[in-house]
Amino acid sequence: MKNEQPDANDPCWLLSAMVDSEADPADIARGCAAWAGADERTRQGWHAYHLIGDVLRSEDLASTPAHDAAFLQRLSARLDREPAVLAPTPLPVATRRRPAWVAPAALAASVAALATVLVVAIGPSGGSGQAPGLAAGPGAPTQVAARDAAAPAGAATAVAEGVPLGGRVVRDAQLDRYLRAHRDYATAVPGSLPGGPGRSIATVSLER
Amino acid sequence: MRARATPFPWLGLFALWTALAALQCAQASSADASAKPSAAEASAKPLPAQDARKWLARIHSAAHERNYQGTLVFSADGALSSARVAHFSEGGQSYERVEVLDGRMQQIYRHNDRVLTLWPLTRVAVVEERDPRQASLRPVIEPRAEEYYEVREQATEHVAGREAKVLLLSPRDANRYAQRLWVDSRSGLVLRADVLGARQQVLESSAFSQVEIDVKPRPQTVLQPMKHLEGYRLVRPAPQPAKLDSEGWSLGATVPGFQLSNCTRRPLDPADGATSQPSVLQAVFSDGLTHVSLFVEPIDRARHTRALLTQTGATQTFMQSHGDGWWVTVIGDVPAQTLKQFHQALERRR
Repeated sequence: MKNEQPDANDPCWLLSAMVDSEADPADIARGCAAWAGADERTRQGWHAYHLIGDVLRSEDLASTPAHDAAFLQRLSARLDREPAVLAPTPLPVATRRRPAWVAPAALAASVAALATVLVVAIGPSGGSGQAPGLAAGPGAPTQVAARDAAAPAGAATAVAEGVPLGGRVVRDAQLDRYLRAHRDYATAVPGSLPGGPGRSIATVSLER
Repeated sequence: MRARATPFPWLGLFALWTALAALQCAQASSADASAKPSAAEASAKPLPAQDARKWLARIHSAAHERNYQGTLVFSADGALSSARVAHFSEGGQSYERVEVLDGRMQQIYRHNDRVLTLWPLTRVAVVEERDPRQASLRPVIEPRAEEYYEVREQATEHVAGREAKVLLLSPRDANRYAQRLWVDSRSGLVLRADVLGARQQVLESSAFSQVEIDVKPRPQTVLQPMKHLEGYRLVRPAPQPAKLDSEGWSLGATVPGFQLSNCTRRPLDPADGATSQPSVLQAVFSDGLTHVSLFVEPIDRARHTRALLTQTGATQTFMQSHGDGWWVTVIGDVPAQTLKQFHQALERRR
Protein backbone atom coordinates (compact mmCIF):
# COMPACT_ATOMS: atom_id res chain seq x y z
CA MET A 1 0.00 0.00 0.00
CA LYS A 2 1.33 3.34 -1.01
CA ASN A 3 2.36 5.47 1.92
CA GLU A 4 0.28 8.64 1.66
CA GLN A 5 2.44 11.71 1.63
CA PRO A 6 0.86 14.17 4.10
CA ASP A 7 0.35 17.71 2.94
CA ALA A 8 1.91 19.82 5.71
CA ASN A 9 -0.33 22.72 4.77
CA ASP A 10 -3.55 20.77 5.02
CA PRO A 11 -5.16 22.14 8.20
CA CYS A 12 -6.88 18.85 8.88
CA TRP A 13 -3.60 17.01 8.73
CA LEU A 14 -2.11 19.64 11.09
CA LEU A 15 -4.92 19.20 13.56
CA SER A 16 -4.64 15.45 13.34
CA ALA A 17 -0.92 15.70 14.03
CA MET A 18 -1.61 18.00 16.98
CA VAL A 19 -4.16 15.61 18.44
CA ASP A 20 -1.68 12.77 18.08
CA SER A 21 1.15 14.84 19.60
CA GLU A 22 3.17 14.52 16.40
CA ALA A 23 3.20 18.19 15.42
CA ASP A 24 6.33 20.30 15.90
CA PRO A 25 5.96 23.88 17.25
CA ALA A 26 5.74 25.37 13.75
CA ASP A 27 2.96 22.93 12.83
CA ILE A 28 1.12 23.78 16.03
CA ALA A 29 1.32 27.49 15.28
CA ARG A 30 -0.01 26.98 11.77
CA GLY A 31 -2.70 24.63 12.99
CA CYS A 32 -3.89 27.11 15.60
CA ALA A 33 -3.85 29.92 13.05
CA ALA A 34 -5.95 27.86 10.67
CA TRP A 35 -8.45 27.07 13.41
CA ALA A 36 -8.60 30.67 14.65
CA GLY A 37 -9.16 31.78 11.06
CA ALA A 38 -12.57 30.17 11.35
CA ASP A 39 -12.07 28.09 8.24
CA GLU A 40 -15.24 26.05 8.15
CA ARG A 41 -13.53 22.88 6.93
CA THR A 42 -10.88 23.04 9.63
CA ARG A 43 -13.46 23.49 12.34
CA GLN A 44 -15.46 20.60 11.02
CA GLY A 45 -12.36 18.48 10.92
CA TRP A 46 -11.40 19.43 14.47
CA HIS A 47 -14.92 18.75 15.61
CA ALA A 48 -15.04 15.42 13.78
CA TYR A 49 -11.86 14.19 15.49
CA HIS A 50 -13.28 15.01 18.88
CA LEU A 51 -16.70 13.68 17.99
CA ILE A 52 -15.13 10.33 17.12
CA GLY A 53 -13.48 10.22 20.52
CA ASP A 54 -16.62 11.41 22.29
CA VAL A 55 -18.93 8.93 20.63
CA LEU A 56 -16.52 6.11 21.40
CA ARG A 57 -17.00 7.02 25.07
CA SER A 58 -20.69 7.87 25.06
CA GLU A 59 -23.28 8.69 22.42
CA ASP A 60 -24.67 11.38 24.69
CA LEU A 61 -21.61 13.50 23.98
CA ALA A 62 -22.38 13.81 20.26
CA SER A 63 -23.15 17.34 19.08
CA THR A 64 -23.09 19.45 15.92
CA PRO A 65 -20.18 21.79 15.06
CA ALA A 66 -22.56 24.76 15.34
CA HIS A 67 -23.01 23.94 19.02
CA ASP A 68 -19.42 24.92 19.86
CA ALA A 69 -19.46 28.03 17.70
CA ALA A 70 -22.74 29.20 19.24
CA PHE A 71 -21.35 28.66 22.75
CA LEU A 72 -18.20 30.65 21.95
CA GLN A 73 -20.25 33.47 20.49
CA ARG A 74 -22.52 33.63 23.52
CA LEU A 75 -19.50 33.56 25.85
CA SER A 76 -17.69 36.31 24.01
CA ALA A 77 -20.86 38.45 23.90
CA ARG A 78 -21.27 38.03 27.66
CA LEU A 79 -17.58 38.87 28.24
CA ASP A 80 -17.97 42.03 26.17
CA ARG A 81 -20.74 43.22 28.44
CA GLU A 82 -18.69 42.71 31.60
CA PRO A 83 -16.98 45.86 32.94
CA ALA A 84 -13.21 45.47 32.63
CA VAL A 85 -11.48 45.83 35.96
CA LEU A 86 -7.90 46.84 35.25
CA ALA A 87 -5.17 44.85 36.95
CA PRO A 88 -4.20 46.22 40.34
CA THR A 89 -0.66 47.18 41.26
CA PRO A 90 0.50 46.13 44.70
CA LEU A 91 -0.54 48.43 47.50
CA PRO A 92 2.49 50.55 48.40
CA VAL A 93 1.45 51.28 51.96
CA ALA A 94 -1.25 50.05 54.29
CA THR A 95 -0.38 46.39 54.93
CA ARG A 96 0.79 45.83 58.47
CA ARG A 97 4.12 44.24 59.02
CA ARG A 98 3.95 41.07 60.98
CA PRO A 99 6.34 38.18 61.30
CA ALA A 100 5.76 35.79 58.42
CA TRP A 101 4.72 32.98 60.74
CA VAL A 102 1.84 34.89 62.31
CA ALA A 103 -0.58 34.14 59.48
CA PRO A 104 0.01 30.38 59.56
CA ALA A 105 -0.20 30.52 63.35
CA ALA A 106 -3.50 32.39 63.19
CA LEU A 107 -4.74 29.87 60.64
CA ALA A 108 -3.63 27.08 62.91
CA ALA A 109 -5.44 28.79 65.76
CA SER A 110 -8.68 28.98 63.80
CA VAL A 111 -8.29 25.36 62.73
CA ALA A 112 -7.72 24.48 66.36
CA ALA A 113 -10.73 26.52 67.39
CA LEU A 114 -12.84 24.84 64.71
CA ALA A 115 -11.57 21.46 65.81
CA THR A 116 -12.43 22.34 69.39
CA VAL A 117 -15.94 23.35 68.37
CA LEU A 118 -16.32 20.15 66.40
CA VAL A 119 -14.95 17.98 69.15
CA VAL A 120 -17.00 19.72 71.82
CA ALA A 121 -20.15 19.64 69.70
CA ILE A 122 -19.81 16.13 68.39
CA GLY A 123 -18.08 14.59 71.36
CA PRO A 124 -20.91 14.44 73.89
CA SER A 125 -23.65 13.72 71.35
CA GLY A 126 -21.58 10.99 69.74
CA GLY A 127 -20.54 9.67 73.11
CA SER A 128 -24.01 9.51 74.60
CA GLY A 129 -25.85 8.65 71.42
CA GLN A 130 -29.01 9.85 73.18
CA ALA A 131 -31.89 11.99 72.00
CA PRO A 132 -30.53 15.26 73.56
CA GLY A 133 -27.43 14.69 71.46
CA LEU A 134 -29.54 14.79 68.31
CA ALA A 135 -30.83 18.21 69.32
CA ALA A 136 -27.27 19.48 69.71
CA GLY A 137 -26.17 17.80 66.50
CA PRO A 138 -27.80 20.14 63.95
CA GLY A 139 -26.60 23.14 65.94
CA ALA A 140 -22.97 22.21 65.62
CA PRO A 141 -22.63 22.26 61.83
CA THR A 142 -24.33 25.65 61.53
CA GLN A 143 -21.98 27.11 64.08
CA VAL A 144 -19.03 25.74 62.19
CA ALA A 145 -20.47 26.89 58.90
CA ALA A 146 -20.91 30.41 60.26
CA ARG A 147 -17.30 30.62 61.37
CA ASP A 148 -16.19 29.13 58.13
CA ALA A 149 -18.17 31.61 56.09
CA ALA A 150 -17.09 34.63 58.10
CA ALA A 151 -13.36 34.25 57.63
CA PRO A 152 -13.13 33.98 53.82
CA ALA A 153 -15.72 36.71 53.32
CA GLY A 154 -13.68 39.11 55.42
CA ALA A 155 -10.54 38.20 53.54
CA ALA A 156 -12.24 38.69 50.17
CA THR A 157 -13.49 42.21 50.92
CA ALA A 158 -10.09 43.14 52.30
CA VAL A 159 -8.56 42.38 48.90
CA ALA A 160 -11.31 43.76 46.67
CA GLU A 161 -12.15 46.97 48.49
CA GLY A 162 -10.31 50.13 47.65
CA VAL A 163 -7.12 48.66 46.23
CA PRO A 164 -5.71 51.52 44.15
CA LEU A 165 -5.14 50.60 40.55
CA GLY A 166 -1.84 52.12 39.57
CA GLY A 167 -2.43 55.29 37.59
CA ARG A 168 0.49 54.49 35.38
CA VAL A 169 -1.05 51.21 34.39
CA VAL A 170 -3.92 53.08 32.79
CA ARG A 171 -2.69 53.88 29.32
CA ASP A 172 -5.90 55.15 27.93
CA ALA A 173 -6.04 58.59 26.36
CA GLN A 174 -9.79 58.40 26.28
CA LEU A 175 -10.02 57.88 30.02
CA ASP A 176 -7.53 60.64 30.67
CA ARG A 177 -9.74 63.20 28.92
CA TYR A 178 -12.66 62.47 31.20
CA LEU A 179 -10.41 62.66 34.22
CA ARG A 180 -9.08 66.02 33.13
CA ALA A 181 -12.57 67.32 32.40
CA HIS A 182 -13.61 66.19 35.88
CA ARG A 183 -10.70 68.00 37.49
CA ASP A 184 -11.14 71.11 35.32
CA TYR A 185 -13.98 71.91 37.58
CA ALA A 186 -11.61 72.25 40.51
CA THR A 187 -9.30 74.77 38.84
CA ALA A 188 -11.35 77.63 40.24
CA VAL A 189 -10.75 76.73 43.87
CA PRO A 190 -7.71 77.64 45.94
CA GLY A 191 -4.89 75.18 45.44
CA SER A 192 -4.68 74.49 49.12
CA LEU A 193 -8.16 73.01 49.43
CA PRO A 194 -8.50 69.24 49.43
CA GLY A 195 -9.30 68.15 45.90
CA GLY A 196 -7.94 71.46 44.58
CA PRO A 197 -5.92 71.99 41.42
CA GLY A 198 -2.62 70.96 42.99
CA ARG A 199 -3.56 67.36 42.32
CA SER A 200 -1.61 66.41 39.28
CA ILE A 201 -2.93 63.84 36.90
CA ALA A 202 0.59 63.22 35.70
CA THR A 203 0.15 59.72 37.08
CA VAL A 204 -2.05 58.99 34.11
CA SER A 205 0.02 58.76 31.00
CA LEU A 206 -1.13 60.79 28.08
CA GLU A 207 1.27 62.99 26.27
CA ARG A 208 -0.32 65.31 23.85
CA MET B 1 -16.76 5.66 68.70
CA ARG B 2 -13.14 4.71 68.44
CA ALA B 3 -12.63 6.92 65.42
CA ARG B 4 -14.05 9.92 67.27
CA ALA B 5 -11.89 9.28 70.29
CA THR B 6 -8.64 9.51 68.34
CA PRO B 7 -8.53 13.34 67.97
CA PHE B 8 -8.47 13.78 71.74
CA PRO B 9 -4.74 13.18 72.24
CA TRP B 10 -4.17 16.07 69.84
CA LEU B 11 -6.44 18.39 71.72
CA GLY B 12 -3.70 19.43 74.13
CA LEU B 13 -1.42 20.38 71.26
CA PHE B 14 -4.24 22.31 69.55
CA ALA B 15 -4.97 24.15 72.77
CA LEU B 16 -1.31 25.07 73.17
CA TRP B 17 -1.21 26.25 69.59
CA THR B 18 -4.35 28.31 70.06
CA ALA B 19 -2.98 29.94 73.18
CA LEU B 20 0.32 30.78 71.49
CA ALA B 21 -1.37 32.18 68.41
CA ALA B 22 -3.79 34.23 70.48
CA LEU B 23 -0.87 35.67 72.44
CA GLN B 24 0.90 36.56 69.22
CA CYS B 25 -2.21 38.20 67.77
CA ALA B 26 -2.63 40.24 70.92
CA GLN B 27 0.97 41.39 70.68
CA ALA B 28 0.59 42.26 67.02
CA SER B 29 -2.52 44.32 67.63
CA SER B 30 -0.98 46.17 70.55
CA ALA B 31 2.00 46.93 68.31
CA ASP B 32 -0.38 48.31 65.71
CA ALA B 33 -2.08 50.45 68.29
CA SER B 34 1.20 51.95 69.47
CA ALA B 35 2.34 52.57 65.89
CA LYS B 36 -0.93 54.35 65.07
CA PRO B 37 -1.94 56.54 68.00
CA SER B 38 -4.85 57.83 65.96
CA ALA B 39 -6.54 54.45 66.20
CA ALA B 40 -7.41 55.13 69.83
CA GLU B 41 -8.49 58.66 69.07
CA ALA B 42 -10.65 57.53 66.19
CA SER B 43 -13.03 56.26 68.82
CA ALA B 44 -13.23 59.75 70.35
CA LYS B 45 -16.66 61.28 70.16
CA PRO B 46 -17.50 63.22 67.00
CA LEU B 47 -17.80 66.96 67.41
CA PRO B 48 -21.27 68.45 67.82
CA ALA B 49 -22.70 69.65 64.52
CA GLN B 50 -22.17 73.29 65.39
CA ASP B 51 -18.44 72.85 66.11
CA ALA B 52 -17.96 70.71 63.04
CA ARG B 53 -19.57 73.37 60.85
CA LYS B 54 -17.33 76.01 62.40
CA TRP B 55 -14.23 74.00 61.45
CA LEU B 56 -15.46 73.53 57.86
CA ALA B 57 -16.29 77.23 57.52
CA ARG B 58 -12.89 78.17 58.93
CA ILE B 59 -11.07 75.88 56.48
CA HIS B 60 -13.04 77.33 53.60
CA SER B 61 -12.49 80.96 54.47
CA ALA B 62 -8.76 80.50 55.23
CA ALA B 63 -8.19 78.98 51.78
CA HIS B 64 -9.98 81.88 50.11
CA GLU B 65 -8.99 84.88 52.19
CA ARG B 66 -5.42 84.25 53.34
CA ASN B 67 -2.29 85.15 51.39
CA TYR B 68 0.01 82.17 51.15
CA GLN B 69 2.55 80.48 48.93
CA GLY B 70 4.36 77.20 49.13
CA THR B 71 5.09 73.85 47.56
CA LEU B 72 2.33 71.30 47.50
CA VAL B 73 3.33 67.66 47.17
CA PHE B 74 0.80 65.20 45.83
CA SER B 75 1.14 61.46 46.12
CA ALA B 76 -1.08 58.68 44.82
CA ASP B 77 -0.42 55.07 43.86
CA GLY B 78 3.24 55.46 44.70
CA ALA B 79 3.66 58.31 42.21
CA LEU B 80 4.74 61.71 43.45
CA SER B 81 4.31 65.14 41.94
CA SER B 82 4.67 68.63 43.26
CA ALA B 83 3.30 72.06 42.48
CA ARG B 84 4.20 75.60 43.43
CA VAL B 85 1.08 77.27 44.77
CA ALA B 86 0.43 80.91 45.54
CA HIS B 87 -2.81 82.53 46.60
CA PHE B 88 -3.38 86.24 47.12
CA SER B 89 -6.51 88.01 48.19
CA GLU B 90 -6.46 91.77 48.03
CA GLY B 91 -9.20 94.37 47.82
CA GLY B 92 -11.91 91.79 47.17
CA GLN B 93 -9.93 90.37 44.23
CA SER B 94 -8.56 86.86 44.26
CA TYR B 95 -5.39 85.65 42.53
CA GLU B 96 -4.11 82.12 42.26
CA ARG B 97 -1.07 80.47 40.71
CA VAL B 98 -0.53 76.72 40.53
CA GLU B 99 2.51 75.46 38.66
CA VAL B 100 2.73 71.71 38.44
CA LEU B 101 6.42 70.87 38.33
CA ASP B 102 6.23 67.34 36.97
CA GLY B 103 4.76 65.48 34.04
CA ARG B 104 3.15 67.85 31.60
CA MET B 105 4.04 70.87 33.77
CA GLN B 106 0.53 72.27 33.65
CA GLN B 107 0.30 75.87 34.92
CA ILE B 108 -2.91 77.43 36.15
CA TYR B 109 -3.31 81.18 36.67
CA ARG B 110 -6.55 82.55 38.00
CA HIS B 111 -7.79 86.07 38.52
CA ASN B 112 -11.28 85.94 40.03
CA ASP B 113 -13.30 83.99 37.47
CA ARG B 114 -10.78 84.11 34.65
CA VAL B 115 -8.75 80.93 34.52
CA LEU B 116 -5.77 80.44 32.23
CA THR B 117 -4.31 76.95 31.91
CA LEU B 118 -0.96 76.65 30.14
CA TRP B 119 0.54 73.46 28.76
CA PRO B 120 4.11 74.62 28.14
CA LEU B 121 5.28 71.40 26.50
CA THR B 122 2.66 71.60 23.75
CA ARG B 123 2.32 75.39 23.82
CA VAL B 124 -1.43 75.34 24.33
CA ALA B 125 -3.18 78.00 26.39
CA VAL B 126 -6.76 77.45 27.51
CA VAL B 127 -8.64 80.56 28.60
CA GLU B 128 -11.84 80.15 30.55
CA GLU B 129 -14.09 82.96 31.58
CA ARG B 130 -16.39 81.51 34.14
CA ASP B 131 -19.91 82.73 34.24
CA PRO B 132 -20.03 85.09 37.24
CA ARG B 133 -23.50 83.78 37.99
CA GLN B 134 -21.92 80.38 38.54
CA ALA B 135 -19.20 81.68 40.81
CA SER B 136 -21.08 80.51 43.85
CA LEU B 137 -21.40 77.04 42.37
CA ARG B 138 -17.73 76.23 42.64
CA PRO B 139 -16.74 73.08 44.45
CA VAL B 140 -15.94 74.29 47.91
CA ILE B 141 -15.94 72.92 51.39
CA GLU B 142 -19.43 73.62 52.61
CA PRO B 143 -20.60 73.45 56.21
CA ARG B 144 -23.40 71.14 55.09
CA ALA B 145 -20.76 68.43 54.61
CA GLU B 146 -21.20 67.90 58.34
CA GLU B 147 -24.48 66.12 57.59
CA TYR B 148 -22.61 63.39 55.72
CA TYR B 149 -19.33 63.27 57.63
CA GLU B 150 -18.58 63.00 61.33
CA VAL B 151 -15.80 65.36 62.36
CA ARG B 152 -13.40 64.31 65.09
CA GLU B 153 -10.51 66.27 66.51
CA GLN B 154 -7.39 64.18 66.79
CA ALA B 155 -3.82 64.89 67.82
CA THR B 156 -1.85 68.04 67.18
CA GLU B 157 1.01 67.41 64.77
CA HIS B 158 3.49 69.38 62.72
CA VAL B 159 3.33 69.82 58.95
CA ALA B 160 5.84 71.94 57.01
CA GLY B 161 7.15 73.23 60.30
CA ARG B 162 3.77 74.49 61.48
CA GLU B 163 1.51 73.27 64.22
CA ALA B 164 -1.59 71.60 62.82
CA LYS B 165 -4.75 70.19 64.30
CA VAL B 166 -5.67 66.82 62.82
CA LEU B 167 -9.32 66.45 61.87
CA LEU B 168 -10.80 63.13 60.82
CA LEU B 169 -13.86 63.45 58.60
CA SER B 170 -15.43 60.00 58.50
CA PRO B 171 -18.44 59.38 56.26
CA ARG B 172 -21.76 58.58 57.86
CA ASP B 173 -22.53 56.09 55.07
CA ALA B 174 -20.62 53.99 52.56
CA ASN B 175 -21.14 56.44 49.70
CA ARG B 176 -17.96 58.46 50.28
CA TYR B 177 -14.41 58.25 51.52
CA ALA B 178 -13.02 59.52 54.79
CA GLN B 179 -10.57 62.42 54.77
CA ARG B 180 -7.97 63.35 57.31
CA LEU B 181 -7.09 67.04 57.31
CA TRP B 182 -4.17 68.75 59.01
CA VAL B 183 -5.39 72.28 59.66
CA ASP B 184 -2.96 75.06 60.54
CA SER B 185 -3.70 76.04 64.13
CA ARG B 186 -3.18 79.74 63.55
CA SER B 187 -4.70 80.38 60.13
CA GLY B 188 -7.07 77.48 59.48
CA LEU B 189 -5.32 76.66 56.19
CA VAL B 190 -5.27 72.98 55.24
CA LEU B 191 -1.62 71.95 55.29
CA ARG B 192 -2.18 68.31 54.44
CA ALA B 193 -5.13 66.24 53.27
CA ASP B 194 -5.35 62.45 53.01
CA VAL B 195 -8.18 60.57 51.38
CA LEU B 196 -8.78 57.29 53.16
CA GLY B 197 -10.31 54.09 51.81
CA ALA B 198 -12.74 51.77 53.54
CA ARG B 199 -9.94 50.19 55.60
CA GLN B 200 -8.48 53.58 56.53
CA GLN B 201 -5.69 53.07 54.04
CA VAL B 202 -4.37 56.25 52.41
CA LEU B 203 -5.54 56.41 48.79
CA GLU B 204 -3.88 59.73 48.06
CA SER B 205 -2.30 62.52 49.96
CA SER B 206 -1.48 66.16 49.30
CA ALA B 207 0.61 68.24 51.65
CA PHE B 208 2.59 71.44 51.78
CA SER B 209 6.24 70.54 52.11
CA GLN B 210 6.97 74.21 52.59
CA VAL B 211 4.52 77.09 53.09
CA GLU B 212 4.48 80.75 54.05
CA ILE B 213 1.20 82.10 55.33
CA ASP B 214 0.14 85.75 55.52
CA VAL B 215 2.72 86.84 52.96
CA LYS B 216 2.54 90.20 51.22
CA PRO B 217 0.17 89.81 48.25
CA ARG B 218 1.90 90.04 44.89
CA PRO B 219 -0.90 89.94 42.31
CA GLN B 220 1.50 90.88 39.51
CA THR B 221 3.16 87.47 39.72
CA VAL B 222 -0.20 86.05 38.63
CA LEU B 223 -1.29 88.78 36.21
CA GLN B 224 1.99 89.05 34.29
CA PRO B 225 2.08 85.45 33.01
CA MET B 226 -1.58 85.84 32.00
CA LYS B 227 -0.59 88.56 29.55
CA HIS B 228 2.45 87.00 27.94
CA LEU B 229 1.15 84.27 25.73
CA GLU B 230 3.49 84.61 22.74
CA GLY B 231 4.03 81.29 21.03
CA TYR B 232 0.97 79.75 22.61
CA ARG B 233 -2.02 78.49 20.70
CA LEU B 234 -5.01 80.08 22.36
CA VAL B 235 -8.09 77.95 22.97
CA ARG B 236 -11.30 79.44 24.31
CA PRO B 237 -13.75 76.71 25.14
CA ALA B 238 -17.24 77.96 25.72
CA PRO B 239 -19.11 75.52 27.88
CA GLN B 240 -22.82 76.09 27.42
CA PRO B 241 -24.99 76.10 30.53
CA ALA B 242 -27.34 73.15 30.29
CA LYS B 243 -30.03 71.41 32.26
CA LEU B 244 -30.40 67.70 32.72
CA ASP B 245 -34.16 67.75 32.20
CA SER B 246 -34.10 69.93 29.11
CA GLU B 247 -31.53 67.49 27.69
CA GLY B 248 -34.04 64.72 28.30
CA TRP B 249 -32.52 63.21 31.42
CA SER B 250 -33.58 62.86 35.00
CA LEU B 251 -32.05 61.30 38.08
CA GLY B 252 -34.36 58.92 39.89
CA ALA B 253 -33.11 58.02 43.35
CA THR B 254 -30.11 60.30 43.82
CA VAL B 255 -27.19 59.39 46.03
CA PRO B 256 -27.76 60.84 49.53
CA GLY B 257 -26.01 64.16 50.07
CA PHE B 258 -24.99 64.81 46.48
CA GLN B 259 -26.59 67.94 45.04
CA LEU B 260 -26.32 69.11 41.48
CA SER B 261 -23.92 72.04 41.50
CA ASN B 262 -23.24 72.60 37.81
CA CYS B 263 -24.39 71.33 34.44
CA THR B 264 -22.81 72.25 31.10
CA ARG B 265 -22.48 71.05 27.56
CA ARG B 266 -18.81 71.17 26.63
CA PRO B 267 -16.10 69.68 24.45
CA LEU B 268 -14.40 66.93 26.42
CA ASP B 269 -10.88 68.17 25.90
CA PRO B 270 -10.76 71.88 24.97
CA ALA B 271 -6.96 71.84 24.68
CA ASP B 272 -7.26 69.34 21.84
CA GLY B 273 -8.41 72.26 19.74
CA ALA B 274 -10.35 70.17 17.28
CA THR B 275 -13.54 72.12 16.66
CA SER B 276 -15.27 69.04 15.33
CA GLN B 277 -14.97 67.41 18.73
CA PRO B 278 -18.34 66.12 19.84
CA SER B 279 -19.64 67.75 22.97
CA VAL B 280 -20.61 65.95 26.13
CA LEU B 281 -23.09 66.79 28.84
CA GLN B 282 -21.30 67.16 32.18
CA ALA B 283 -23.28 67.34 35.42
CA VAL B 284 -21.32 67.93 38.62
CA PHE B 285 -22.64 66.87 42.00
CA SER B 286 -21.18 67.83 45.37
CA ASP B 287 -21.76 66.64 48.92
CA GLY B 288 -20.02 69.70 50.35
CA LEU B 289 -16.60 68.07 50.46
CA THR B 290 -16.07 66.05 47.31
CA HIS B 291 -17.59 66.13 43.85
CA VAL B 292 -18.70 63.64 41.21
CA SER B 293 -18.88 64.29 37.47
CA LEU B 294 -21.46 62.56 35.29
CA PHE B 295 -20.75 62.66 31.55
CA VAL B 296 -23.42 61.70 29.02
CA GLU B 297 -22.92 61.48 25.26
CA PRO B 298 -24.28 59.55 22.29
CA ILE B 299 -22.52 56.22 22.04
CA ASP B 300 -19.67 56.05 19.56
CA ARG B 301 -18.99 52.39 18.81
CA ALA B 302 -15.43 53.17 17.75
CA ARG B 303 -14.45 54.81 21.03
CA HIS B 304 -16.89 53.30 23.51
CA THR B 305 -16.07 49.68 23.25
CA ARG B 306 -15.91 48.38 26.79
CA ALA B 307 -17.53 49.01 30.14
CA LEU B 308 -14.76 49.97 32.55
CA LEU B 309 -14.11 50.45 36.23
CA THR B 310 -10.77 51.81 37.32
CA GLN B 311 -9.12 53.85 40.03
CA THR B 312 -6.31 56.40 40.11
CA GLY B 313 -5.40 57.51 43.59
CA ALA B 314 -8.75 58.22 45.20
CA THR B 315 -10.45 58.90 41.89
CA GLN B 316 -12.69 56.16 40.56
CA THR B 317 -13.97 56.00 37.00
CA PHE B 318 -16.93 53.96 35.86
CA MET B 319 -18.09 53.93 32.26
CA GLN B 320 -20.85 51.90 30.70
CA SER B 321 -23.47 52.17 28.00
CA HIS B 322 -26.91 53.45 28.95
CA GLY B 323 -29.83 52.06 27.01
CA ASP B 324 -29.07 51.56 23.33
CA GLY B 325 -27.68 54.86 22.24
CA TRP B 326 -25.84 56.47 25.16
CA TRP B 327 -22.51 56.28 26.88
CA VAL B 328 -22.26 57.34 30.52
CA THR B 329 -19.03 58.04 32.40
CA VAL B 330 -19.04 58.78 36.12
CA ILE B 331 -15.90 60.04 37.89
CA GLY B 332 -15.35 61.03 41.47
CA ASP B 333 -13.33 60.53 44.64
CA VAL B 334 -15.92 58.11 45.96
CA PRO B 335 -16.26 54.32 46.17
CA ALA B 336 -17.15 52.53 42.93
CA GLN B 337 -20.56 51.64 44.34
CA THR B 338 -21.49 55.32 44.53
CA LEU B 339 -20.62 55.84 40.87
CA LYS B 340 -22.76 52.86 39.93
CA GLN B 341 -25.66 54.38 41.86
CA PHE B 342 -25.38 57.52 39.75
CA HIS B 343 -25.36 55.41 36.61
CA GLN B 344 -28.42 53.47 37.74
CA ALA B 345 -30.31 56.58 38.84
CA LEU B 346 -29.99 58.18 35.43
CA GLU B 347 -33.15 57.88 33.36
CA ARG B 348 -33.87 58.81 29.77
CA ARG B 349 -37.20 60.60 29.61
CA ARG B 350 -37.67 60.94 25.90
